[in-house]
Amino acid sequence: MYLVVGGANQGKLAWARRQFNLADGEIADGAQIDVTPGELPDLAEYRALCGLHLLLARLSGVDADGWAAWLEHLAARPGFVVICDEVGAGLVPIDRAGREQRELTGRACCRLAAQAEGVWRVFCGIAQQIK
Amino acid sequence: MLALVLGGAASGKSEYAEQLAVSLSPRRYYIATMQADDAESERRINRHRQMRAGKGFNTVERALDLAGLDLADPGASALLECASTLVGNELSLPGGAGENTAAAIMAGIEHLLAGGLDLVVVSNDVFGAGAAATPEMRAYLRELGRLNCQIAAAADCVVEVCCGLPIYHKGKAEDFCR
Repeated sequence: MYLVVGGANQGKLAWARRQFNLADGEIADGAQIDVTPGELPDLAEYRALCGLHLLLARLSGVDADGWAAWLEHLAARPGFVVICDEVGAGLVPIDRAGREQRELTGRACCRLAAQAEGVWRVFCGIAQQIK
Repeated sequence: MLALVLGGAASGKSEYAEQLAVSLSPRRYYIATMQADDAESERRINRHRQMRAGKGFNTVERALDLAGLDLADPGASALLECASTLVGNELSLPGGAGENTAAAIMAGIEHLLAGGLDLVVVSNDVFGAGAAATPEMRAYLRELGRLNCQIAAAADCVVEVCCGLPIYHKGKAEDFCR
């Protein structure tokens, strides 16, 4: 699995499309794909997931074990590309849900990065390989 | 030796900084800065306690006035966690340094270094989410931004942690490890 992170609107997806030769239909959109409460999406038909942070915000009713297993499964898919916004570099959100959401996103990225074959951080469209 | 470890929320910076402090010396202090005022901060503190358990840290609690902390122990390492909480404390708690926050905390860091400690300071990158909405938030960003720059200028190494991975901005912390 490859992980691509960076701030919002930094050109992560455009870079990843070129780098990994991804076609539109091969990329699951975290903001759009169907989600069912209590379930985690099966991404078997895709080669990439963009907007992991958006997908995490749409999921509900999943316990910690379910999470861990889903992340393990993603992390173990050779060549699969996960694209996620870095959302932890602001002031602490006033609302509890906002705090929990960025905690979840950050921990998910740490977990994926630990097992990734490669990790890139995209800044102004320029990718820096950090693993 | 002074190292600054920076990162966003849930970036893996604490785990990295802990590992660094462990590698720097067999004698270790942990300077805890957070006051437990609700269930959520209690949970955070407990999570960090569990992470540290068994790593041989002597915990020292210090929410204010770092310069008043006497911890001279040449050759030992100390992990200060974290500068961003100290800034919030100095700005908002009774008896805090107020508008002299950054200078007061920097004086505390210099005091600890003068005591012969190898110091690892954890701080937060909170500057990537646009403008602050209130004067209090602006003061917080100003003092923490100032302090981060002052620590970085004095530091032997500045490491940013992203997804648990180090990005070296100045020096290489691992070169100082035993």
